[in-house]
Amino acid sequence: MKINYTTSCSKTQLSNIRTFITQQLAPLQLSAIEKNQLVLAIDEACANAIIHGNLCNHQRTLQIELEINTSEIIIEIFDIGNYRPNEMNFMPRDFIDDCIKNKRKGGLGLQLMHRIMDNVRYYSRGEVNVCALHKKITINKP
Amino acid sequence: MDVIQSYTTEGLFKIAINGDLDASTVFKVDDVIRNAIKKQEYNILVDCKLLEYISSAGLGVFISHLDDVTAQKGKLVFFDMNETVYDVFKLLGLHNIFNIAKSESDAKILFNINEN
Repeated sequence: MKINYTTSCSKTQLSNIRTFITQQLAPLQLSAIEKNQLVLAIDEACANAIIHGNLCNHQRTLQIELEINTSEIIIEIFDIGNYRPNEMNFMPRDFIDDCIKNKRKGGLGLQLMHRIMDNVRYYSRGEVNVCALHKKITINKP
Repeated sequence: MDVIQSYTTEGLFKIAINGDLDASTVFKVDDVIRNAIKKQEYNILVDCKLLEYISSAGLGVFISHLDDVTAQKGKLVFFDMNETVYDVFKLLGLHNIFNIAKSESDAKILFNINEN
C-alpha cells in the first residue's frame, strides 16, 4: 500500500515530515538506529528539494510517497523545482577533510542518503522531479 | 530547538542543544559558535544530552567551525550523545574526527581538566 504526504516547500515542514515518516515506520521491527537512518535519508532528500530545488518557496508543494512491503521500503519524493534531477545522480566522493579545510557544508546530505539507502535515483517525470529511495529490509514476523 | 550557552566552573564555553538540529534550526547553533569564536572561545563543550536528532545541516555547522577552533589549538568536544545521534556521526566517519566523550567529566579530561 502506498501512503502519501503532501506539504509545502518550507524548511519548517521538515520536522512534520520526520514525524510522519516515524509514525509509518513505528510498527516495523527495526532497531531505533535503522529507523532513524531511514528518517534521516528521507529528511535529507526533502531538505535538498525544499532548499536547493525550490528555494524554500512555500507556495510550492512537496509530495512524499511511501511504500512498505515485507522486503523493501520505497520512497518517492516529487517536486517541481527548477533543477535537472539527472545531475543529482552521482555518487558523492568522501570529502570530509575537504569540508573541514574549506568550511564547506554542502553535499553531506547526499552522501548520507547514499550511505543509508541501497539505491538513490533522481529522474524527471514530465515537469515533475522525482527522487526515488530504496532500502531492502528484513522484517521478522512475531 | 533551543541552545543554552554557559561557562563551566573551569571556564570552558558550553552549549547545550535541546531538540532537533536540522536545516530549519541549525542557524541558532551556528550563531552561538560563531559568536564564541569571535570572543576567542576556542575550547567548546557541546552537551548533547537533550539533542534528539541531527541531520547533515547540523553536522555541517560543526564541520565548518572545526578548523577555526583547532587552528587556535582549541577543541570542540561533544558529550552525552544518544546512540542514534552518534550513529549519524559514524555514518560519515565523523566519530574519528570529532572528540566525543561519554560524560561531561570525561569531556573535561580531554581539556586536561580532572574533576577528581
